[in-house]
Amino acid sequence: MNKQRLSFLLNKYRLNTICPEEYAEFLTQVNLLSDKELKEFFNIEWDQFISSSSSDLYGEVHDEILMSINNRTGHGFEKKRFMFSNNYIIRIAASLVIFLFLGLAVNMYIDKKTLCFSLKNEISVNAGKGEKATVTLPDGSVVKLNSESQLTYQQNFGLDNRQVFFLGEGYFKVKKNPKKEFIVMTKSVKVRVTGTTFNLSCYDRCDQVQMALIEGSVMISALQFPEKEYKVSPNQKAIFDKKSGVLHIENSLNEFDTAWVKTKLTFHSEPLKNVLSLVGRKYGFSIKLEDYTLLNERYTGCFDSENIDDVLSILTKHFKFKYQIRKNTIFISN
Amino acid sequence: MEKKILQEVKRGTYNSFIVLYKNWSPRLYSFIFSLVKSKEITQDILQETFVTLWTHRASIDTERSLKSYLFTISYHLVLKEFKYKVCHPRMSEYIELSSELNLSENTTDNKIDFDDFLEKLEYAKKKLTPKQKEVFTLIKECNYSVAYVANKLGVNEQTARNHLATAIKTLRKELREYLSLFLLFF
Repeated sequence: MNKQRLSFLLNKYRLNTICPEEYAEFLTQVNLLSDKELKEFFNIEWDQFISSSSSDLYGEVHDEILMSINNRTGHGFEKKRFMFSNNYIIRIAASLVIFLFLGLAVNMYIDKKTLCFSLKNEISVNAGKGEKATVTLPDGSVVKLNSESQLTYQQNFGLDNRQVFFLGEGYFKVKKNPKKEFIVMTKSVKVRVTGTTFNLSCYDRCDQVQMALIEGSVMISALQFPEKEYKVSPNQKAIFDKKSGVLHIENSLNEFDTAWVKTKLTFHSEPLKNVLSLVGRKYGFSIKLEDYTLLNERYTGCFDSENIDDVLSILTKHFKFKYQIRKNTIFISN
Repeated sequence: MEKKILQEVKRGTYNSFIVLYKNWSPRLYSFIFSLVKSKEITQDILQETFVTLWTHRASIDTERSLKSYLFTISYHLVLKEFKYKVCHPRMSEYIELSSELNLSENTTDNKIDFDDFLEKLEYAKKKLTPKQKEVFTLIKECNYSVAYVANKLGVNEQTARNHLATAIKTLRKELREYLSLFLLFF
């Protein structure tokens, strides 16, 4: 095949001036050529085309292509518009963020208000009859509640001060914090401590409020005139008589007072009246005495049982009385 | 001058790349179109060629001419399309029609789109009588011989030839109208 002939036909094909016969010839030749040979012909044609410089005018179509190229190479007008829209998005985002913060602020304000409100909420823990409960306060202090006791504190406990309201009998193990004193308010006395362990008994039905100190030191004062504050040392006991309004301190073996915590009751020649009342309180029974002669008896001993029947059977052997349990009441007769 | 621009493009000056594009795109466009005969494909190849040139700017050998670069990049894209077009059964008619229009319009460069041509051809075929259409389709598009088609349709060869001739005449007339309008407006 003549190279010149093929070049001639290619040129005619390009210019759409090829006649059907020539076209048939051209087609056969093209199909015979390899890609490499074809490339050569194309290259010659390209060189001739450029040198003849029959240049077209730069037109709209070329601008369209340029725009696509700009977009694809990341230099386009589209890109700028995108950046503008990006800026726009940032503005929207910024205003949204402002609204968000505003909303958050309002929300937090309301939250704080409800929090302040809820701080005034009182939390109270009750131990029912015959029950015991253990409360760990937010500051880490532990209070064990004996039966029929109630510990109340505000939700903001530990924020400004550590104050609890107490009724019944409790064993307080107060975490040491010299900056914030721990105050126990009862109906008749106020106990002020920084970090100690003590037992407080202030049942409504009892005439006495007893505070037995195990370790540390405690300031105790009556809530009625004269509001004198007494300092109590370990192995001492503060007793407040509700009727006379007298508060006095006496030495005491506090094992008796804290016996209930250990589920063990210990008595050292204790009047039977006390023994029975303690036993009743520990196991959650009211005790009714039908024979008052028993009250003069004293008892020394130790009960280490979870069962009231065991305790009562020991007492009956000592004092030869009879007992009956009806509901929550123990009737004792001779 | 061109070498300087090419060096700038290699360094990453996009403005120089645009200058380069504006200098070369009309010529490259014409050349590619003359081979692939389709505007859409020409635009795609042109776009692809320049994008490739830019993305591979780092490996440009500034001693080589831009002319050869553009050819090398666009060639393999052109070749595939060229091979497809050159074998197309309608290409011969397209060229015939184009050459006629070229003469009448006296344009140096032919810009009739082959895709448009095919589309208009289908449209023009609606103007044919069913018999003409059948003869035209069988002979021109399915490449059957006139004798075979005449035999199949139960007419003599001369009648078949007449049908074909009228069909082509009608199509030419229709196409010329469409395409010259097309040339005027596009």
